Amino acid sequence: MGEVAFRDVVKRFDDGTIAVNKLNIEVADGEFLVLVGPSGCGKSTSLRMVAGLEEVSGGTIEIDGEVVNSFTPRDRDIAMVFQSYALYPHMTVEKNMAFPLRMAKVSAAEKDRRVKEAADILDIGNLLNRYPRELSGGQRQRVAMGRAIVRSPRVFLMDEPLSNLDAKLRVQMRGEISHLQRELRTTTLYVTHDQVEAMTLGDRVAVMHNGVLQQLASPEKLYASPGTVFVAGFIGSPPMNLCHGTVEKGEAGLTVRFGSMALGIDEESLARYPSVSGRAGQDIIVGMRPECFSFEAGDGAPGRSIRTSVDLVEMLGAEALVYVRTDARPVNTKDLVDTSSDVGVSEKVRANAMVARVSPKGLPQVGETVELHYETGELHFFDPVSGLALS
Amino acid sequence: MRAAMVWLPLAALVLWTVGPFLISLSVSFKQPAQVFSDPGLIPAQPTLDAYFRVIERPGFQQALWNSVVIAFGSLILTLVVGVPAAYALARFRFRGRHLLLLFSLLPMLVPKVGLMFPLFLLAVNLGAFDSRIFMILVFTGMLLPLAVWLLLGFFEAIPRDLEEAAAVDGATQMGAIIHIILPLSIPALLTVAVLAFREAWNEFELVLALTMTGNSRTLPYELFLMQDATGIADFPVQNAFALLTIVPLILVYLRIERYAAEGLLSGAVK
Repeated sequence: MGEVAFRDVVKRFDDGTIAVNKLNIEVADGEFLVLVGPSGCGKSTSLRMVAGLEEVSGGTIEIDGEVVNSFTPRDRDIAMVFQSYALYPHMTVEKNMAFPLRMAKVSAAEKDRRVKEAADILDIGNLLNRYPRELSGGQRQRVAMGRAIVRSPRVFLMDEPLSNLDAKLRVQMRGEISHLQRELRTTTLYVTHDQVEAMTLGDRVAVMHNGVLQQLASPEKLYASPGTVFVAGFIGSPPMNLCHGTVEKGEAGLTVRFGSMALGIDEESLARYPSVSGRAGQDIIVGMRPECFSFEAGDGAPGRSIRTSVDLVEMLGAEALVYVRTDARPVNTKDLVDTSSDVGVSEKVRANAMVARVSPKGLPQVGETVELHYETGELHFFDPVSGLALS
Repeated sequence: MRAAMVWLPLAALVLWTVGPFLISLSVSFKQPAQVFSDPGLIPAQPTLDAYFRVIERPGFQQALWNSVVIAFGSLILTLVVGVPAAYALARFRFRGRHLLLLFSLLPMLVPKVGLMFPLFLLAVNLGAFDSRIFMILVFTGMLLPLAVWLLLGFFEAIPRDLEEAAAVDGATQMGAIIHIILPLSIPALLTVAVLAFREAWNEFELVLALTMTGNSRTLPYELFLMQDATGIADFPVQNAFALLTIVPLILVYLRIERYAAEGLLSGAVK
């Protein structure tokens, strides 16, 4: 068993900053829940509160229905994998993995058996007599995992366990963690700042920003209908294009105008955001997925494409990113994550550009004026004041 | 040419430090009469006579025992008090922490001569004059600032993650200190132990002020007394005495060296 619940959890640091504000999450037994958000969003602090490494300032944290706020870490029956792995440098791999059992006063025979079993699962049986300093990053990562699973705890806590690995190994270990969790069916809380990790690993993903839970949903739901502007700008790679616009009512139905461009709002979008029809003439934030743009001519109907000039083309192989100029007012980037480092484009380019993810055939030249088609059924709408998705 | 510029100063330095030691060693293996008649570094007829005479001296054995008791007592007490103090100062943030740290340096700033008389009065008033326990307490007081500051720096460098991992793995705070912090701190603990041992072993002025009889007199004092008592300087015996005094220190150093291994912390994180 291992149900974890945050109920109105608040974390206030001594200097008054509020790291976590009224967090409410219920994690089911055996679930893989990912906490994701930019650095400083409170995700690690939330995890550390479950571990008992950080005091809870308000609200309660429950494990299996029992309030554990005042429990020491050792009384919580949890295991944690640290970003730094935190292997004990003076102990061999075997002693490292046996340490939790030694603390629990497990008999020597039982200890050996369980360490061996965990080592077999993680395929590190040949490393048992080595010291951490003699291991590669990936091996250390496995040992840290081994130390966590050896005790069969109620809950696994993982604090950015893959961020010290190189990109290739990270993808491999990501798969292994997912596989391992599915096999052991131990409740897992996993913290990361990498939305790809969050989407691929989590049964459900909790997106946090400034200590506030933005949305808690399955990866599919998070992508298909982001609950806030922040989530929209965080999930997806590259994330959704967001800009201010106005809803207009014309002869051909509703359109959304952003800068000098406009797109028609078709039935499909209206079905998902029905309240848009009552917003004619009002300001709105419109979101467009980069992957919903294409250069292929549609049916030629009006309001299904935008004309603009190309700023930058990035060829990725199977696909290409085309940055096009826009005069629409961008959404204040302070409300959003700085994802420029992920995409490799400077803030300046991103601020007045929209990005389209298109097939790499027949790419335009930089400076060329192009006609970009958009699947108008995939428009997203948000309230410009509250930042919440429209109903 | 460049090599010579490096090696010549080094050679001079070695000569400067090792030279007197060699002369002392040479003299200790001579008969008193040979000291000046046979000025060579290697004696014509080496003898262990001076060493036997030192060991047979009634004061030597008692002083050796006093030195051992006081030096080990001081180093143990220094570690027993210094480790928890340094750990607390390294890991907890409390009001007055900084002031306490500065304050702990105070004993190091007072000249030892300035402490002799107050300590003497204190010892007499407490009825602790000429006792080994009092000497241990005084030496521990003198050694603690250095010990605390050295250990503090070392403890602070140990990643907190390790203790947090231990806590999650089911260790109490004390358990984390015993199983994780102390084993990782062995190089620092040994450094402190060696420094404490050496200070207590070599201390002279305070021994002079606070002891009177063979009950608590240590080796340096005994050496000093011997020089006074013989009237005519017995150079071989004096040098043999001095060399016997530093033998334990050399033994300690030789044992320690291989433990103070580097890079014990590497591989802990990242």
